[in-house]
Amino acid sequence: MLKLKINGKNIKVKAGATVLEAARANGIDIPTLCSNDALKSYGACRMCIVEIEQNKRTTIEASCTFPAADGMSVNTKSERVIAGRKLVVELLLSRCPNVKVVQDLAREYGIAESSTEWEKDNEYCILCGLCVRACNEVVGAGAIQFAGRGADKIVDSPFHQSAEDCIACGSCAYVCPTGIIKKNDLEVSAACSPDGAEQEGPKREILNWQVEYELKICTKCGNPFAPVPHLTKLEKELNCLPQFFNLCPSCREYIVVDKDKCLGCGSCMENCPVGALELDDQGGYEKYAKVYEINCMGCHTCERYCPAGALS
Amino acid sequence: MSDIKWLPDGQKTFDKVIAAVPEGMRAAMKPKLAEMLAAKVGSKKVSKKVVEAWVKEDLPEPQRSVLMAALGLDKPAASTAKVKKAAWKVTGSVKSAADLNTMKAAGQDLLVPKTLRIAVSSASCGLAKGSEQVAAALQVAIKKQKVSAEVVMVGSNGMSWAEPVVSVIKAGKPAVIYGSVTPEGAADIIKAAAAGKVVADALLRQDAVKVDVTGEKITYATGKLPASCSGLKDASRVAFFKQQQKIVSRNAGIIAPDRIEEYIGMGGYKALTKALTGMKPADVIGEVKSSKLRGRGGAGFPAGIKWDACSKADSNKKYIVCNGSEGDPEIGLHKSFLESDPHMLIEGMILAGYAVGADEGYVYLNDRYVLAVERVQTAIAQAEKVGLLGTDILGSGFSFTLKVKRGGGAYVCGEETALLNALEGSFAEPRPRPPLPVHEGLNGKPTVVNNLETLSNISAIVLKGGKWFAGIGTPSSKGTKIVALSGNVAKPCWVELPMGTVIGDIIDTFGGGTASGKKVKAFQTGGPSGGLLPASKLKLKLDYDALNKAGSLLGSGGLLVMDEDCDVVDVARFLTEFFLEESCGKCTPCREGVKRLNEIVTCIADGRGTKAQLALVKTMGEAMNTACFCALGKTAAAPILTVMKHFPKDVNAKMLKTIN
Repeated sequence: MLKLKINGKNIKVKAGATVLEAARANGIDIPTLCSNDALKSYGACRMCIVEIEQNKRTTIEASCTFPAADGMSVNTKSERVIAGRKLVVELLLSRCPNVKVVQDLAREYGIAESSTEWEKDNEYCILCGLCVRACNEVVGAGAIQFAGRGADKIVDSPFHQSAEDCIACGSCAYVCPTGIIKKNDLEVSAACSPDGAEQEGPKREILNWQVEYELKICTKCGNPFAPVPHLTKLEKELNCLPQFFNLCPSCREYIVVDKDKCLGCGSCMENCPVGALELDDQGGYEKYAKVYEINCMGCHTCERYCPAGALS
Repeated sequence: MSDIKWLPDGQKTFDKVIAAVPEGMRAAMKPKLAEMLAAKVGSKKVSKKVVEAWVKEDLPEPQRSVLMAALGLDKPAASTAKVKKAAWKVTGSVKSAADLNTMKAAGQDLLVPKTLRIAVSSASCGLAKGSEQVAAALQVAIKKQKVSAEVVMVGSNGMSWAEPVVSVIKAGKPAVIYGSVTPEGAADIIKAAAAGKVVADALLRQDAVKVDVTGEKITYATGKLPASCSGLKDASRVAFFKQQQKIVSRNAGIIAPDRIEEYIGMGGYKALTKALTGMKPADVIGEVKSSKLRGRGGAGFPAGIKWDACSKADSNKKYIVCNGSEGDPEIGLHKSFLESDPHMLIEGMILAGYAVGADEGYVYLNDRYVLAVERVQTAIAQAEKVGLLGTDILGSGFSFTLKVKRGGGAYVCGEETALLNALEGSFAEPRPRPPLPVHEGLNGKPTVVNNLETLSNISAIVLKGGKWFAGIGTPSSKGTKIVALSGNVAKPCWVELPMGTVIGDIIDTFGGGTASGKKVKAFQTGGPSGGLLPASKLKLKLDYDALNKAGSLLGSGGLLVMDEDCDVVDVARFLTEFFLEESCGKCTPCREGVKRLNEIVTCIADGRGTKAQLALVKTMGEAMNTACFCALGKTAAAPILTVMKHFPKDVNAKMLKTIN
């Protein structure tokens, strides 16, 4: 455990934590725009800057990337820090005057309007990079990236063409704080032409990356539930039965453990692709498999590996 | 008109010339031209040469261009001439100290041969001023006059204003240095050299080259000098050479960059032999630590501490990376140096690898430095061929490989973590630190990233000891620094000076004052991030801390001079625009801030400035210094802030005039 001070408050935190994690674990708020727990810290938005006193040296650091250390003293609201954050917010406000996250931050820092000396743009992307990093680090599709440099930087599909590697999973739209990534799920439609009406299946389009993919229809309930390339990618990567990919989440049957049959061998736990099973140690020789229902996605992989047929 | 016979087509061409004159002046022009020619020729006979000179020098436009075309003078003279140059073949290998001595003797024979050695400077500054044509003309003259001589393309000795520089060397004779040589003058130089004489307009003579660092001495002349040389100034007594202290640039302009023997002849790879045969890695680090060598890239971090941290990092793979990115707009310092002596860097990198336990190195170079890249690659290939690079160097069991990586020359790549990203093939954006590169650098392995000049200093430190090095310079900054003098100076050049040299003296002694003859108004050290300083700060010394205190930085060693006529606000605008182009765009305050700053500074430079804008620039500059990710953004406002601080009059003149 590391001992440090944040805003004069003594705090203990696990070794390896960043200053941001230490502060948040102890109820101290530090604003961020480019940070997400599922992603590696990037340190680009500069909203989370704090003043750190360490070894008698005071420096300004981004708390999301700076590791907490013993004996460190952190000030999250010093004059310099606030001045720095205000500049960031004001600059973002002049770039994206109509984005809600930015407007909220501006209100918080008492900025009514960006400086009149600057020109005003009407961008929506704040270039936090969350979408890019989610696509590359978490999804592993690598369909989008930053393009350009400096003031010309944008998030884009390769060569501004349709993103071939996109699987239309929608993670980018999910993490985007500004809502500029337009992901639409389209219902069954009919395209009318002189030859007659032609029916088009349910589709998902992401306008920003110029992609459009068919949605798979659940074999049980008949509702569309996920884009086809997304399921194909998962099928390649996960050790699951193929029929799993035909059912929508609400039609899947989730695993129940029959405690009378369970041997407590743990083979289900080892083979679960999402880590939804664990051995529940109740002391003595009693061990049972336990399902974390939130994590279980109903793929029934464990069923195949259970020697006693205790999972169904 | 009798005297128009010299013209091709006589009267016809002359009519053309007359036609170029406004109609009302034609009648008066005819006798006027004849008169002008007569004045030029005097009582001498009208020859083609005289007429050509008259047309070229005295005639006013537009008659000049018409006559030039008629006489065929407008075509550039024989620019297609190419130097006949066979690729240098290295023979022999260096497996032990004895082998090195053999090669050293061979190298010294090359440096001071029994026959004539005509050394033509061929760094970019020389080539730009036509040293290739000069070399070709020299070769033609040698063949014609049947002289036994060799034309060698060497690097730059720093005298950029006198390019192309040609030195004539022969054992037992003092070396003679010619400046601003033209292809036409080549024949005279060869004729005089063959006869043991000197052409009248020679620049300097040089009796010997003594390299303090390696202990080598090359003697050109022994005994009494020939009478023809006695009137020439001795290079060692000329301020340009006398006041320099050459450590890193000791071989520049003397050796041919593509011949490893010549580098070894000047005492090269002696330090490597010393380290590999008699020193432990910790000893090498100890020497570098005691030398108090600080990084020459700008931040001035002590190199020894960096190496120590890397050597203690626990890993089976480590890297040495040379930062030769140099994206500053006005400096060609790394370029000139590498084009003159690439082996010094290679030796320094092998030593660094030995010290920290790395077996792989990368030289990251700005791809715009085409010639430097080529020469470093040649040098690496030669070092590999003789066995100074590769496996089991000098039988010590230590192995080291070196590769050149070419970068796009982005300014942000001067930042070491951005450089590492670029080396790995991803975006040239700085990485968060910690982890420091010495713990997690290239490919996640411990890496030492050092500036090119820092690494080039290593061989001298290992050879002469850290204490010797720490004896040069000021208490906080040790050793020497290469300074590239450019801008409004009479003699642009690059020189190596001990730390603590007064900047004003550099401009006066080496640059010869401003080119315009006016007073110095402002100067800039350390590239765009340094900001502009006023003439009152010319008393500042070359010193990391003194310059930091004055609000500038030593940086990589550029020294840009501006005279009284210079519009400093416009310079600030240019530099802010430079930052706008070079910002990588990763962090918000730099990407958006520089864009807005550029808008305001452009407005001020156009004469539409307001007090509110000045106040805003000030707060923005401070906040950007706080919030930005790396030094590029932190210092992006420096040009305009320093101009506002030191040149309030100039800024006031740019304010919007309102009627009240």
